[in-house]
Amino acid sequence: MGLIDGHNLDAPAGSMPGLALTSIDWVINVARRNSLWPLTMGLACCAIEMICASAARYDISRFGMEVFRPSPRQADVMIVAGTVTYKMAARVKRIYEQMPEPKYVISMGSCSNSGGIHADSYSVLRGIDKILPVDVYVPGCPPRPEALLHGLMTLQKKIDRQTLRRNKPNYIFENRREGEITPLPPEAAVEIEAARLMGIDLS
Amino acid sequence: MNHVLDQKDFSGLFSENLKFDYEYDPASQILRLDAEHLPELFALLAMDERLAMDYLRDLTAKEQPEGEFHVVYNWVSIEHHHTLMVVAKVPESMEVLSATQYWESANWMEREVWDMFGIRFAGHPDLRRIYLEETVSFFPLRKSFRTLPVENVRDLGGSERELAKARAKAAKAEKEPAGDK
Amino acid sequence: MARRYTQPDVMKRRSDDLDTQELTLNVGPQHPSTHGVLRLVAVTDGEIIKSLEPHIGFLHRGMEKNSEGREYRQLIPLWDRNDYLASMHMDYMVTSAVEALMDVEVPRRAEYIRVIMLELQRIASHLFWFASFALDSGAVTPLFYGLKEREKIIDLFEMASGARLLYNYIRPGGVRADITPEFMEKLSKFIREFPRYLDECEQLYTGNAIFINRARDVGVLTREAAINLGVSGPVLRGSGVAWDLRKDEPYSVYPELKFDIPVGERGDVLDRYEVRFYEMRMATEIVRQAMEGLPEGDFVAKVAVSPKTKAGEVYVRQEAARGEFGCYLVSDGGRKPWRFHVRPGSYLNLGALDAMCRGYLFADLIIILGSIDIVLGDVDK
Repeated sequence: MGLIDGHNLDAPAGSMPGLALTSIDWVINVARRNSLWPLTMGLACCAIEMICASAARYDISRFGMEVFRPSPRQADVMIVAGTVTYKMAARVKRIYEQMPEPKYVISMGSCSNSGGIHADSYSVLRGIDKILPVDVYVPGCPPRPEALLHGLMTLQKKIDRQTLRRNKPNYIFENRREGEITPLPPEAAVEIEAARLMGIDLS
Repeated sequence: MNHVLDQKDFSGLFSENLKFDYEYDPASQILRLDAEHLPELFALLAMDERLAMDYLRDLTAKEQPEGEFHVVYNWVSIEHHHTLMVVAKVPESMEVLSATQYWESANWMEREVWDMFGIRFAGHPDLRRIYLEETVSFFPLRKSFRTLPVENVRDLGGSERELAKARAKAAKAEKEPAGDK
Repeated sequence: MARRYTQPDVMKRRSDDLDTQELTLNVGPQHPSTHGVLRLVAVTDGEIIKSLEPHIGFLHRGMEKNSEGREYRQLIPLWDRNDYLASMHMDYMVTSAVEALMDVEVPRRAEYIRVIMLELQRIASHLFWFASFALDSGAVTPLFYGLKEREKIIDLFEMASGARLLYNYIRPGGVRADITPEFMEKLSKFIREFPRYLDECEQLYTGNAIFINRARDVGVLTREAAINLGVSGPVLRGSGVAWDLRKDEPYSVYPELKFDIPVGERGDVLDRYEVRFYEMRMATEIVRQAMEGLPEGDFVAKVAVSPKTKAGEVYVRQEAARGEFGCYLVSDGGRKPWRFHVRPGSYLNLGALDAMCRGYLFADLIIILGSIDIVLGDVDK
């Protein structure tokens, strides 16, 4: 953001109006990152800490993220908080697909990062990143509300770097480049096969 | 062992009414019997005024090391303040009588036992799997179920060290015949 | 068939002569008012619920199977995650089952510390229920009131155990760490102030005419139905059954403490609400008595790092925040359980939802569900 001829936007009325120059990316990113609307995807214990983060003491609204939407169609970021079982994973994936672009995923807690304490279970997905692209991982079992806030701020930094220019690496619609689908990690095949044995189609 | 509230001895009552083989230990309040005699037992527990077991607090199952299954019931009488644990041996047919005709609370608990152990309950109004999908072909809490047959999914029964040992053993067994040649 | 129950005939009262088509409505599994991942399928006639089926298992983590591969001390952090709003109660459940199959004498100081923690946990859990229940019935402000006060208890737990939500504090033989004078100071301040806070909440919400109209005579569960359906905890007491395991099958040092059991009259949503509020007052009273009677001495008995138990089977039970938590442990004499089964309170309470909802309006469904106070981790295991 810059000034021309020493004039600024706060100039008193009647004097020459100021001009500010900046990139359109900056303006769009400021607007986007300061009102991230999360989708409530509270699955287990971490959901309680997510609710605590939105309550009186931690006050998530300081960062413009207090508008928890129950509908995926109004949300920007999905906070996957808790253990994802195969049975729920299919639903999580479907809800993610219903969110409008650009969309982000925060994986909150050990269970959704990697399966955590339940990683040896027959019914738990070992990490939500096997089926969705994850932007920020928040470690902890469960993470404290401060950790979630830090995760959201990390996401803000990521959004700050994004651009509308199609040929740049930080393109906003990275997930939806034409003809490209985000590749799933190699372990995903194992999880999809395990889910199939549990009667769930994750592919 | 069972935490007993009012220490009562039902030995006389049972020997008077139960005309089959059973084991009863008044100290721990555990009654053991074969599951085919459950109809008489249910009728006695529910209808007898001295027992009046009105609250079925828990119903589950367990697998014995030798492979037979037991269904375990825990009753309490809110009216008379006493408890009873019943351990019933499941027959080969893997089917026992449902308790839902007397205690509605058995409905979901029996569905859970069917889901986890594959024990059927005759006379249950709606015996479907409760946690897992209907298409699943295994019963997770049986000891024979160790893991999903997918590579990289960790074994459920043993620790990492045991697993590593087993793998080393298997690798060695593979090598040895090759060495003989 | 003598013991089958009858529900009050509300259907007749509410229905009219209009011909309406049966409609199947789905709620969840991702829905803000199902307290997690629960799916409800309701068959309605107009606006009246004819039958309701909860579909569960979206959070089934196979905990019972996983328990069989873990040592006893490793079970405590695992089962902490079962009922994550009453983690102390889960700790105590595992511990008391293991202790029942071991020769260990728990020091009296440890028992008193346990009771303090269990009752504080009950208050914390009920406060969270208050916050979410008010949200279910359409009020937003109590969410902040409830969680603000809950944070004070969380701070106390953090001082004692180091964790905010899942404590892993109570262990075979006693507790993990002794409580400090600073803890006692902070606790006595909390106990002094808490009843005044409860009064404030009641002024804010209990007398509210809109709330009373929504809650009174809604979701009625009769006494006979409650017993037959196996519900427990505040839902059972709300239906007029004076059954509290702290009184009726006492454990720990509860026989030495004086407290009352609240019992409802109508068995509706309002009764369950009042029972929980009274329980919070009583829990405060129990904590005060336990603080005064707290003896000096050890806080943990000598127990091996990886304890072995005697071979045998045991069923222990306790009155947790959400009803009876039973634990059936079968041991073959080793360091790991042969079979570890938990009777979760929420599971059977949720099973009674169908009986509570039949004949009421679809709009009442959420407030009835809120009044049961389920935790899906506990339902699904």
